[in-house]
Amino acid sequence: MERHTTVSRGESVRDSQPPIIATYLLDHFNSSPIDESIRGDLVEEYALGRSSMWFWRQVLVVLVLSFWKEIRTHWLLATRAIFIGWGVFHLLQFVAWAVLLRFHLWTHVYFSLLRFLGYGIGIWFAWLILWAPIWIASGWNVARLNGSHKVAMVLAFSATVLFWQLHRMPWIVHLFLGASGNARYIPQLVVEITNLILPSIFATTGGLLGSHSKRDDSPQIARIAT
Amino acid sequence: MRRRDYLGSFELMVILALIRIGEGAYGVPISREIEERSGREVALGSVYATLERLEEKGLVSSELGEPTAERGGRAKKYFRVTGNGLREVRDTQMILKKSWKGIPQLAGGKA
Repeated sequence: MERHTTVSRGESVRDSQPPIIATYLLDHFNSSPIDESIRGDLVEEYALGRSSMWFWRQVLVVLVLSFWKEIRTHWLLATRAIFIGWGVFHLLQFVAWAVLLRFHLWTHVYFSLLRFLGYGIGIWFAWLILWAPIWIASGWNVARLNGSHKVAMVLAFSATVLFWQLHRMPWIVHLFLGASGNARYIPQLVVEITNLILPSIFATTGGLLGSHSKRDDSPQIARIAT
Repeated sequence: MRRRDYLGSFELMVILALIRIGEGAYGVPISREIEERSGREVALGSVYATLERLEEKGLVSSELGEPTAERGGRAKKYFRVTGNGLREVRDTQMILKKSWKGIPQLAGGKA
């Protein structure tokens, strides 16, 4: 007990909230039951004067450890989640193409975007509006089919999406080297980098939308209030 | 000979911190205790992962406290060392003492 009081002694309690994005990540991207206590400890330490950088470091360690533990413990579920995610992606891709080509919708959308946005951005945006819903739906399905382990499973699927997108790296490196001597390469480089990371972000977003992982704190808050 | 897992160095540090703190040991004081002794920043996530592992081995037990407002409505999780945990620490201490003996390079505290 003595140690407990030493922690609080001589340290002023800060009133400000911990970094919002880090807190959001902690709330939505971890799945270990013990993390509730960790979050309380982090909030307490931050109130006692720890820096935002410290808070971020701690949150990242918690997220990595909880993700790794979930995957290691439920590796069969993770394998299934990855297959489901990619299966849904290919199915939706097939259906989307069939529908769009059948009704010539894609041609209309594609050329309208080219006309309004110009050639480079137009093509990029056209692909974005085609692929974004498909990636989101894939992540959504992974979340819906994985019960209490959905966070880790969605992240596992998103990680494979990012890994798959790494096939763009040689081209990105080529553009990067070109951009250092010629500014004309920069827009294409930006487009390629966003194409590298956006699919996994969309898949993760879909997973978040599909999960009911939002922690309901109201009972605890109510207990404190009374 | 019975096959057994020895305590890792971080596991040992966590258990020693728990013993030193005694009653009311939870994440914050445990990590601070380790930080003070080791002089290095400790990740709370690593401390909890280690505590969870030690609990699975039966060396540590835990109980949930009441949620408090200053912790954003989260409860503290209190840990304490079990009888098995104490025995394990004593065994480790004995083994380390024996292993230390007779190494001239480690005598006198110089590298």
